[in-house]
Amino acid sequence: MNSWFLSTLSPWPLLLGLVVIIAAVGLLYRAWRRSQRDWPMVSLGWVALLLVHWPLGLALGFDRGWAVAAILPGFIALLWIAMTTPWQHWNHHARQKSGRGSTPSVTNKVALRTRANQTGQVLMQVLVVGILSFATAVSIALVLFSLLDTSVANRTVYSALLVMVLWPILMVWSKAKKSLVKPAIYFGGVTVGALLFTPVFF
Amino acid sequence: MSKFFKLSPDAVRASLKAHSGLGLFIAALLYLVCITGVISVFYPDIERWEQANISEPKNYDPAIVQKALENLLAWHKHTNPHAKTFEDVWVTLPTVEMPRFSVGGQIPPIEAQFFVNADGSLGEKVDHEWTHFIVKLHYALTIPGIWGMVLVGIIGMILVSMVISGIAAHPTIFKNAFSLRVNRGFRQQQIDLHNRIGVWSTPFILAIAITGALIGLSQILLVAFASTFYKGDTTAITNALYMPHPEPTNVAAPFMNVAPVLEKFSQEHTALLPYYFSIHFPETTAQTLEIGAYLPDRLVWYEAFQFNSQGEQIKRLGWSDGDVGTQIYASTYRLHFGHFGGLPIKILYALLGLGMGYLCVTGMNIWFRRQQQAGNLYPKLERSWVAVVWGFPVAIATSLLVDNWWSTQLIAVFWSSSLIIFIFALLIQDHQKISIMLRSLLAGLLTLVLIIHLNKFGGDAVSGASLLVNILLVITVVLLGLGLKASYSLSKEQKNAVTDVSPMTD
Repeated sequence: MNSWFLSTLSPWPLLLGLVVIIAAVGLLYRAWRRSQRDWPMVSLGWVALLLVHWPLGLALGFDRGWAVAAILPGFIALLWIAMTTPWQHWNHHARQKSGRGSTPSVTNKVALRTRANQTGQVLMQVLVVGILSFATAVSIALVLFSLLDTSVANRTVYSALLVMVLWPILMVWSKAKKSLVKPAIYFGGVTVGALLFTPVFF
Repeated sequence: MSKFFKLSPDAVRASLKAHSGLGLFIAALLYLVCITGVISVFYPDIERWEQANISEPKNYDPAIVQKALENLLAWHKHTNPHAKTFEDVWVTLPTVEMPRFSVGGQIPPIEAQFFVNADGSLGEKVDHEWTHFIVKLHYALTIPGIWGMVLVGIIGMILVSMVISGIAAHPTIFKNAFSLRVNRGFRQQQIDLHNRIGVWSTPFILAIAITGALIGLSQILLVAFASTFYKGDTTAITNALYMPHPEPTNVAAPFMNVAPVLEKFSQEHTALLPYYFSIHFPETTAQTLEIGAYLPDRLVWYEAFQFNSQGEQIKRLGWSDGDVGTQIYASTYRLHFGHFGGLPIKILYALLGLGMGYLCVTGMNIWFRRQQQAGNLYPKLERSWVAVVWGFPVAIATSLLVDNWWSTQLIAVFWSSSLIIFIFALLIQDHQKISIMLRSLLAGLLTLVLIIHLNKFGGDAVSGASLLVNILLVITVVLLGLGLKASYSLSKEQKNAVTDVSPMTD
């Protein structure tokens, strides 16, 4: 057992994985530097980042290898950016310019009535974007739970994962809308409709 | 190809609105969860750092384990003569990651845990109050009951929403994946830093946020599923995911001998690394031994086995080879805390976690600049945000310092320090001055913590996990010092250059 990684690992696939990640990030960087979009190079870079799951899976085991293969490229790309950025050209005066030089002459003071309206809007958003969308996501997950023909553990985890994906999507969709009326109607309708498929009402 | 994925300008604008709206809603709490998460990555090391003087055995003798348990039960009878016998006793066995050997027991409200000496006698009491505080601050914001966890779970879900809306709001985010224009204005610098860190950290953020939300919201979802399909009986689901707890009999029996079970287990499961075991209802006919063992090459948290008082295996948890759903659930903890690849993965998680914290900071900075350019000034809010960014770390460092004398009140110390800093930030007009003062205070507090630790533990403070934690503290202090030096020279330059511009006021 390797005491650094607290596990057994295969060094050669690990090394291969690291080389592939660095090469892929390098390819994407080169493609970005060119004025014309170089689709073959961009595609090759992204495909290499997908393929790196294989050597890292061999090096660290399937599940741990895949987790590292998903996370590590981002870190290496950020290191690459940090190393290629001309930090000596950092505009130290930028904060001063925008922070003080462009100070507007008029300070907008928020009226009490406007503040009350804003509070009401926030509460409505908590209700629709937060609670109603959660109810919708859970009710759809309950439908999945009832439809799945597998073990209790599988049904529970798959349905919970559906909530983890669906709820954020519903939040973004409703938050992006100008009015909350339409999302509220949809959420209410879908929730009631979905619950009809479950033993909640019967 | 790019046209195929192109969103309409309206959709982009709406996504940006959702992104900033959701971000504003949770920025401060998300930032707190991020920085406590970074610290929590190192919690096994910090536990060792807190009691650096404890000897660290590489392995254990099952006979000594038995002796230590008997000593614990004898201690309980002697110290709490009128209390019932322990409901549960447990042993943490030394492993490479946590080479500490301890025994503990509980019967509400009594709970005690001791390190074990080489001869099986009870040593110093286990005292990891600060580590437990910081982990609780991370997963529940110290809010009691399940509601803290639920709130953090909701923050995780909003974080996933922000990833989705962030990508949708920036159609060229992948095209400009390497663009960092440091020579532009402040807002452009912040936007580039925000977008670059955001896009490349996306897999990490999604992994952290989804696993965190799954852990945090599990209780609510459990109740929803159980109420709908099992008439509210949550055990119908929990028994499929966890090892069911044995039923008490309250009939006295001699304390079971765990040594032969441990010996047999180690011989039969050479690929597993036993790190923990507990005995439920000891000294009764219901006593049941449960061994927890790491699978060093897997992402699943552990595998557990249950034995009766005769030492016969009666159950196996099945997290490592059970249903796919069980294995996914069992993998969430390690994936969330970054405990699946030793020190390199911990460092990777800590750096990307700091990046997440920095995303909160740059996100708010961008929002403030945008508001400023639109003619809306929020000087109090801006100063409050500085109090969040530097005040929370100062409050954490204060709790770490106070832990040396008053470890039972860490929650009160943290929240009252945060409140004082917040009020102080509202009273001082110049947010740059607040930032410099808080950063200086943070550097001073961390230096003090370091000096006290070195003074208290001497040579033990510079070996093993303590060395790692102290190096991290030194790096933090040095970086803070460098940042302060740059800020001082910049503010000096600004004073010389801009003498005729009046500062922002309320």
